[in-house]
Amino acid sequence: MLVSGDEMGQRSPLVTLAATAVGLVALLVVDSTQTGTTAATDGTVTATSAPTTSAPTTAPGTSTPTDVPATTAPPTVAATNTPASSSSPQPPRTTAPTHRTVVYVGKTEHRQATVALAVKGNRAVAYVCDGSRLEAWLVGVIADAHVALRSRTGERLVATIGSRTATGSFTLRGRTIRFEIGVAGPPAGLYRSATSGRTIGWIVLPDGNQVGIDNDGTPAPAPRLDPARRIASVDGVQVTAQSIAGDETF
Amino acid sequence: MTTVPMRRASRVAIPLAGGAAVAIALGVYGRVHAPTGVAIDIAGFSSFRSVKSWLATVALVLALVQIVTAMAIFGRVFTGRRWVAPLHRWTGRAAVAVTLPVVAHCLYALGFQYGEPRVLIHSLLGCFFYGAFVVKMLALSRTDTPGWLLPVAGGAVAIGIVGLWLTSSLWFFTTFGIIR
Repeated sequence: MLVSGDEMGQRSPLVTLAATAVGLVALLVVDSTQTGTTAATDGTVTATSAPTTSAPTTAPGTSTPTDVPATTAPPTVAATNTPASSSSPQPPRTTAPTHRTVVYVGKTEHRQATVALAVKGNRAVAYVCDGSRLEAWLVGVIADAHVALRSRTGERLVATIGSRTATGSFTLRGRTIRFEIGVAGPPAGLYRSATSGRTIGWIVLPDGNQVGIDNDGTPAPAPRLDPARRIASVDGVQVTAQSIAGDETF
Repeated sequence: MTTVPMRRASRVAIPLAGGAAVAIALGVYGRVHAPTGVAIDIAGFSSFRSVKSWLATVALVLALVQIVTAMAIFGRVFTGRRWVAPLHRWTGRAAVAVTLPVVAHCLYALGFQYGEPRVLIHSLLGCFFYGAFVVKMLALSRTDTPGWLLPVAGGAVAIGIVGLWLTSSLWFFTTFGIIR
């Protein structure tokens, strides 16, 4: 900043404003390089928030509107930073969240349990289990990147999903357990087998390990699932597992 | 319409229009831009949401300094201290600076959302906060603004940051615990 001491010129706040706008644009550009998308729409923000020249040249006291940010001028700040800057807003990208199908799996924060979250369109299914006694199947919907799921027994899971990770928490018997889990592709994922009186859930982790619970009224560790053939053997009887995509209800 | 009333009206209207334009532009951007959900990881923190919560908390503390120094500038407390005005200016700049990574992430990764009351209020307040900040800067840069505009705009900025903190950081800390 160019201001020192007690003397504050007329321009000082405008410099502050310009620096703020430049900072915001720079951060949005950095964000866009993280995601590999162009920051063309950033111009819509800066066109109004940045004085289009670095310092207005009007004398103090004049009330001509020239020292007001021009809302229609293209942002010179963004133009120097963004690869393809335009001052007109773009339509939303076609990668709308309604077409996504993705599964996140991983351990909870203190590795007490494993979480799988399957997302399809605006619906999601999550399964939380510790591989021995505790388990919960949760279903619900997604608003933008926010998942809010509920189980039949009242447990709740909230998460924010991104392109690589999902971060959130769920409440199990009054305790809040946090997790940050990553995207996983087949064979890793969430599998379920439901027959009369018996439900089995499996989470297959990216390293091939699997965690599951066989619940016939009494939860117990699940038998090993063959993820490729989706077959498991329960007490000598073969059961077929379904790969959970995220739009199922149960 | 003679020029005198026009000029009198523009003393308030121009800063307010600038602020309103920024608030609306941020809201429109937040809706139009498809949220990516992606965050930049910062070492030492468990997630970017905790980074945001702590940055917002820093901004809140600075905002409290802002309120006290503003009262001093207007002669309510600490009258006649030379350090008051520079302190007010620089804590203000610092406060806005630490909010920038937060708003960039909010706008880029999450966007303007209204799925639940807390989130809707937070989104609206975010736009309002920067609009009020722009009003205050524009009002400061003019010599002809009426005396009430600056404290009102400053108060709006302060209310905005407190409300934003309550609807985000406080929620985060009470939901996930005081964590890094």
